[in-house]
Amino acid sequence: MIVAQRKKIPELVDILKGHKKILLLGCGTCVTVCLAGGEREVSINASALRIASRLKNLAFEVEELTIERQCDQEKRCRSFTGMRRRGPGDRRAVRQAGLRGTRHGLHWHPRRAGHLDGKMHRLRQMRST
Amino acid sequence: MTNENYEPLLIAFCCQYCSYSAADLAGSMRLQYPPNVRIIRTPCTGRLEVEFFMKAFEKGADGILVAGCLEGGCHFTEGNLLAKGRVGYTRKFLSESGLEEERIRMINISAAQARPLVDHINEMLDTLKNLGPSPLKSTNPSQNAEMRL
Repeated sequence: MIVAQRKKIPELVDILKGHKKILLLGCGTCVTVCLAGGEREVSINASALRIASRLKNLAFEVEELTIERQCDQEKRCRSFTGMRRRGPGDRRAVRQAGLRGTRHGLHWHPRRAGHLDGKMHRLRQMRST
Repeated sequence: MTNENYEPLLIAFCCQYCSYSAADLAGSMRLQYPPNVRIIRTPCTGRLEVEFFMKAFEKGADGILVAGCLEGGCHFTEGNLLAKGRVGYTRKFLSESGLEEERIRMINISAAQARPLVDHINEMLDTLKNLGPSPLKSTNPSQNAEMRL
């Protein structure tokens, strides 16, 4: 499990200065449990950023999206399907935000044929010896 | 908008078991409070989320009053205590974002306390008048349409 901590709004504003289009992307697993980046926190942070941008005349355009599970390719793709309908710019942003630093190969997937079989085979071997 | 003719828009989230009844009782007792307060009935103040408060400010509300039951008297045991924490959390977010944290306040009222409710509303409106209009309020009135009755 990943443990995360929320950044303060002034710190976020400093990071985002000079940018106009911002996508806040949350995830429904680890960061939801530690109350740092789930759907609710995404909504609160987006509101806070909008308020800060209007007060400081930064003109941020903030979009929100929370995917069900970013470390699962199948579910991640399903979450992005809705975003893809909006336009090519958003699709590119989502692809970059979603795939960078995430595991998107299927070799670790527990339902993949042979993954658990191999483990069971090794277990049987250990038991027999 | 000049400060002389400025009338703050106050959103009051009232719990249906206590403060909403208190507001009803205030009407029965013919106690008067200013018309620029919008009372929203909630099943319990524990239902209110931080997002609701942030959205209300984004849409142009000048202030928010959360009116819950007396501590220990919540119909759902601890809903008002949850709301108290969330209001505190919202205040922190508002001050981080650059908005005054005095714009949101939580009060505890029983169903029989009509007069204290009216006093709290008047006090909150005075605070908002001193703070001035919310900088998030749009200068174009049509964009604040959601806030009209």
